[in-house]
Amino acid sequence: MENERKRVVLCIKPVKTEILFQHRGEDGEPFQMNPYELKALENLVELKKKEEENFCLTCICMGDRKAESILRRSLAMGADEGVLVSDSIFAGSDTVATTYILQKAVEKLGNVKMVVCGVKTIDGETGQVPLGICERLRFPSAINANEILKIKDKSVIYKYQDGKEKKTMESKFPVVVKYRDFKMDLPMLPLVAIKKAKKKEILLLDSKNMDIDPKKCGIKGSKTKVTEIRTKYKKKEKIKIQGNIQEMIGVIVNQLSEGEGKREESFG
Amino acid sequence: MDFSYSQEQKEYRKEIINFAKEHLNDENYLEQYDPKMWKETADFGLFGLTIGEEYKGLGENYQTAAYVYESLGYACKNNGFIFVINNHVWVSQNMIYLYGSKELKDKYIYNMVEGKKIGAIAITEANAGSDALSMTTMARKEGDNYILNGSKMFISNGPIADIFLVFAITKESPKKITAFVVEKTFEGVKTGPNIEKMGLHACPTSELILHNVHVPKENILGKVDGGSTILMQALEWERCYEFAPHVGVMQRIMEGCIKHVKTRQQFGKPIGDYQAISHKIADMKIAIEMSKIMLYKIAWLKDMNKTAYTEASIFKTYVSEKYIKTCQDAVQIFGAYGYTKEYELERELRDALACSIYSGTNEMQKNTIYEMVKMMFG
Amino acid sequence: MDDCRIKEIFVVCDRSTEMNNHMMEIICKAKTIALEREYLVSVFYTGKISPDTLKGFSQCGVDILICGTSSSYIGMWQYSDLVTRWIKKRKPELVLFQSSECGKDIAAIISTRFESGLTADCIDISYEEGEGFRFVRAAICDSVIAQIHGMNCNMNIGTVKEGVFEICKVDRKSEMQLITFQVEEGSLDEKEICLDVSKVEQMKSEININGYSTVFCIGRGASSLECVERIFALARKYDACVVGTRPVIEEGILEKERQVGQSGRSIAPQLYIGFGVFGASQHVVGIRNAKKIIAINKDPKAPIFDYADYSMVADAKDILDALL
Repeated sequence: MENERKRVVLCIKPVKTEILFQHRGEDGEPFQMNPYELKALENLVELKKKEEENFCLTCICMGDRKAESILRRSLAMGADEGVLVSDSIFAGSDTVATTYILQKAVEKLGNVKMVVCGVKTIDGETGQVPLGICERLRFPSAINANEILKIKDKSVIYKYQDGKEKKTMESKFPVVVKYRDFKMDLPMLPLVAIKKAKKKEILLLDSKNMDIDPKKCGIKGSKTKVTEIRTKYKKKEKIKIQGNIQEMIGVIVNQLSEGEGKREESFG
Repeated sequence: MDFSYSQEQKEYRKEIINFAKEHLNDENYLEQYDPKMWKETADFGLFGLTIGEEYKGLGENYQTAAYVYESLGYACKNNGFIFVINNHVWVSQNMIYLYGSKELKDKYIYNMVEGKKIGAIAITEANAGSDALSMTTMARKEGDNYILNGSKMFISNGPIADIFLVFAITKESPKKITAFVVEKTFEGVKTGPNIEKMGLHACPTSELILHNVHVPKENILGKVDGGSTILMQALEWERCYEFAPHVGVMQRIMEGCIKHVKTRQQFGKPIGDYQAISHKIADMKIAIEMSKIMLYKIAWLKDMNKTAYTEASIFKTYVSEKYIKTCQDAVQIFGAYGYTKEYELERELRDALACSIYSGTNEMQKNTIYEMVKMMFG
Repeated sequence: MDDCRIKEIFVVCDRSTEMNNHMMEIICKAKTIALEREYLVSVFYTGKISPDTLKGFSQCGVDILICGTSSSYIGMWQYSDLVTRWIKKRKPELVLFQSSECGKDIAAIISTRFESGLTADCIDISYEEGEGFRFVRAAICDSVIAQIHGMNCNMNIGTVKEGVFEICKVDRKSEMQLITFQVEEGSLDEKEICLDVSKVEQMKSEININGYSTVFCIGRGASSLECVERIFALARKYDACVVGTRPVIEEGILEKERQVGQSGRSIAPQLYIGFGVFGASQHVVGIRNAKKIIAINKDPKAPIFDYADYSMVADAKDILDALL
């Protein structure tokens, strides 16, 4: 565990592979990185390579042991430390409990100047964790960034773009970053990098080595529970139209005519 | 005797399967060489699998390599491209690594591991196939160089290779050959046009023409007049690792057949319920398991630094026969669909048919095997 | 906790924002619940106040309107402190925020501060006897509907999605109570400074891609100039909206507002026709709720065919030529 350089912590949410890539996941990994954190990781690793950006890049993942492969990949991509936050009592945590556990993990690591989270996850999409962590850690600010440009001694320079303007901003440490860009394609990792990453140790933080109140974790510490999930879409009929172009356009024109004149306001 | 795979080996398998499925199965290049695919494989680091870390390799052992190449065959549908990889790694790059002087290794290995230079081997000639020693390519000594003249035929990777391991006659009687490392950029080196084959189209093949090519004596691999040893080593490696992927291919084809025979119904039953069909699949499984045992035995012998010449011949013969049969049976199981291009089985069969010919024909293998057992038990 | 107190639903409007439809929608939904349960509806508002504003709130049935006046724009942390103070005073059962970015940020802070359950982007809220508040939201890019219950806490929080609930007038039984206060000047400690600003190209027109029942999607396989022109012509003929996949937007063929998928929008038209669309997961999540999907692609192995009602293996160009 290093203690000299300032730490930049990236909180990676594991997402089930079949949500991201419906066609993979047969003999692949069960979990992938949330695409927002994947892009953030690439960004931060680039920064480390470019100049001698002197910070320790620590990736934290909260999840069961299967999520360890995500941390291995982050090490292979160039992170300095991989930390798995895992304990059976953490299971079932909602965002209130999760931010508590992550706060304890960050405090345990120490010397953390910047915490980076994806602005939302591709499954839950609540976007509540970054500000929850900011509140727990009592960091004075939370920023939105599309790209991190430079990590200075006491501040970070980043780009932010909303619909109308592109801004280059600078923010003092300590700070929570809501990372807004994402990447769906998995980067190809060279075998040498994967081999080197295997030699590194992944630190395990659990209820024993963190100063943590079990009543505030897992289901006990959660304030919401999901009681039902229904898939919204109907099963597709999957009719293959063989034959020539004329037959195909026949079907298309048919469908188009059925729909004519029906303008519907729908949300979602 | 431990038949299990280590955790590390299993992880290699996962990585190579993910990589192959993601990057090597581009539909547009299944029958065409793609330099981009080559670069991605190089960046992935596959070529340096058994090369030492001092040359930026991974330093893995041969049993791990066997598992990796078997998995490569399982995940990668592009048999031609696998053939390109094998010709570069096992009979060119690794030969220089295992038998070359330090100078030779320093000169070529880094570039080959990084895929910046592509390797090939040149033994066969138009009139010297099974009878390799009847070759007519000559190497005449002149000062510190050797002048090579002649032409080699059916050189896999010919059109794209930068480095050729060329075998030429350096002594007439008794006939002796020597192995030379020849660069494409040496004056007098030329490759012919691409030879159109039945399959393995992603592996470009051509003649190699040598006209007064000056090769420095430092580029000799092994000893002068000692090329036969190098040749035998090359063939031993080739017979093992060229065929390791085929074991994986058989597995993939078998899985495809099982899926099909469960769903395809005729006369009110899935066709897998008919023994004529199911027995073919059972044969595939038998072949796969038996091949695997031989594959890992050979790899183990190589890790023990022992010779595996006969074992490699046995493996090559067995796998090629079974691989071709598996492809034929697959086409048959799929019926008319198996005969169409869309189902890709006709391509698998076309690619497979070469393997009873390359690395020494199966007939020659059986000669070798007989000679060996005659010597041992005669 | 005083059991005789009337329970309250506390609606927090975005900081320093003038009254808008979104606020009214949330207030009306809160009022519906309040009328069933005999709760009060209180609203926390820091935008401009005018007679029309007061009338608007009153008509929605607001019982207590808490107005904070400020001479400058209120910062996020200052606002969260204000909201915290008022929540401690009012002790509501349910706190509702707008699902704007600002609203979600404050909601996350409040949820953490009070350790109360927060449900994001609610599309329905109800109260079940014995079970407490029940929230409904969409997730995984709109492809699932989740039902969430609050537990282990006295106060529930939700951010409410825009355009879901109706605005309706209510007959008042009593006058709206108005509480005003002055917001203190915020501290000038700048933690974030802006180094450079440049304008992003404005949208050419307001395109409401969710308002069309027929949508044509341009994928890589139909991104040539001819195909694009033909698709627009076809769209005019059939009153369809034209959208695109991420690669097409990145190439600059269509405006960003027309991007459909994980990073763009999700749509639920009656009919979706994909021209040369490959069907990468990140696009497909945005179209799963389309009633009918027709997919046209040269590649028989394109994943879009797994999600289509009608699959056509053909060159989009040929289809377009024949259609026009």
